[in-house]
Amino acid sequence: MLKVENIYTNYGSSQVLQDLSLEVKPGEIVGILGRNGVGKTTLMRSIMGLTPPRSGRILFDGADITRMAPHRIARLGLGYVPQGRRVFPSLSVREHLQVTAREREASPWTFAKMIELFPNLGQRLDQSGAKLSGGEQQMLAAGRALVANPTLLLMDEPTEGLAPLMVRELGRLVGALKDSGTAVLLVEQQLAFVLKYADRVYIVAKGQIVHHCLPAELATDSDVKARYLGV
Amino acid sequence: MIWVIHTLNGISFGMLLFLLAAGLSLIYGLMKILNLTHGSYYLIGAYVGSTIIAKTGSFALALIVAPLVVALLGAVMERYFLRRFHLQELPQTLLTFGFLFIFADLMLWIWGGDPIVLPKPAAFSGSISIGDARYPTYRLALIAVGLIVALILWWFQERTRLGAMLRAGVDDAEIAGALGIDVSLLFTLVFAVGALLAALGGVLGGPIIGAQPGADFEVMLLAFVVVIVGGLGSLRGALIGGLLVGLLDNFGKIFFPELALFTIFVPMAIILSFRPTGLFGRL
Ligand SMILES: Nc1ncnc2c1ncn2[C@@H]1O[C@H](COP(=O)(O)OP(=O)(O)OP(=O)(O)O)[C@@H](O)[C@H]1O
Ligand SMILES: [Mg+2]
Repeated sequence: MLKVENIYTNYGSSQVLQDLSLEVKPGEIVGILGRNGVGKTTLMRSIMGLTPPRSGRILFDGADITRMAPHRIARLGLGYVPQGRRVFPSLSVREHLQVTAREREASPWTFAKMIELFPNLGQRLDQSGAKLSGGEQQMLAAGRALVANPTLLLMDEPTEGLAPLMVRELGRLVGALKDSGTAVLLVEQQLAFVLKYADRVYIVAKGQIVHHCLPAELATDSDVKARYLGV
Repeated sequence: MIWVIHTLNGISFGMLLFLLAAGLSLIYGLMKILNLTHGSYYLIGAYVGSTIIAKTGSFALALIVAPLVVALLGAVMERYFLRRFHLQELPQTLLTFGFLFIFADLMLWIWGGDPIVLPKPAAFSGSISIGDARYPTYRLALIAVGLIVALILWWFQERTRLGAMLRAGVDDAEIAGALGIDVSLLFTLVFAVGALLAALGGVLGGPIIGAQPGADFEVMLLAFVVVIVGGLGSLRGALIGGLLVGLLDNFGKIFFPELALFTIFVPMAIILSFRPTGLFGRL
């Protein structure tokens, strides 16, 4: 469903991604691991069209989205949960969950469904997104992307800065996504979280994919973990 | 009684400033463009309005058609010129500066250099008694129109889905786009609406301020003060700031006629030293 083929992405003169390729199949949860600053966010931004690659190709359901405008890419069925959540301070929780809503044939994710999944948000519908706790903001950032009913959700370090209880909440969400057949490309620094939910794992270092394996293999591969993840 | 009249004068002028500042503020909030052509929209609105009134005798027609013409102008400027320099602040600002001069020359060429005062619409050409003084109904109507426009804009921004998209775009245009909101369409829309409001101000202000070369620059300067005082990107700031500057301008001219702009810029500096983002600004 998503094919990233040999992309090179740079910010001005600084080259970040180099010849990076990966693939996500329908309904799959794919983890991306890597240390700080290796280019994980840049990869997400490249896919979303926010920082288009200089060369290489990105295909989504067969369509070339390499240099498409971000809103077009989103409307093809890609959802984006950015690093740091970036909720809209001038929008209420309710507006977050309505403004980007789009129905599709199957449409499992509706406003009502999001509130059922995150009762905390349901109790704060008229509050500004900025007034929520970090965990609630993360749920909101996921919720506003999901109501557009994407077939692939990009999540950039969703557990960053969350309390353990909230990390478990988030795990529940990823589980629900899997059950509904929504694919997820999950960038993470928390190894345990990825090992628990991912079907496959890519490891990024210096803007390249340096390792590709199953979570179970990574769990026991202390050499790779030490070399690329510092654990 | 004289105070009531001066206050009403200040408020009605403030409403004109609000019409100008609302668009200026929204354009900056969403696109980070300092639109130096905004005063030109006002003046073009006034001139086009004067021509429509001269040809048809209908103020109402001028009030509808002139702003629409200028809205189209704003939309074209955004779509075919400013868009090429997306997020490059200096080229964009210089471009709007260039348009300011082009429009000024065109206006001089078409309408000449003599001041034009638009005739008041017949229905609002009289005056009413306030105590022992008479006050023109036109200025009262102007205040009412300003309030109605403020209400409509508020409703649009706070109560419609498009308004919510606009706020999302002002907060974080990049993420709004990545969530499927067509931000580039919002850009054009906001430019068109901003130009429309400024031109509406031009037609409405025509009977009391008139149209003449240089007015584009003067009103732009005042609108910038309003936006800075009220806070960039905030409609409420544009309204409160507009009223404040309108009143300051009016009373300043009475108490310190020789100091002119001084009475506006000193309070502006004081407000900014306490609130660097303006009264209602976040940016
Ligand atoms: N807007 C930018 N302009 C210039 N360089 C940037 C920009 N954003 C990121 N970089 C650089 O690109 C490299 C990759 O950054 P990126 O944010 O993609 O890393 P990351 O893997 O997501 O890191 P983290 O785990 O800290 O989120 C870093 O060296 C960073 O300094
Ligand atoms: Mg990152």
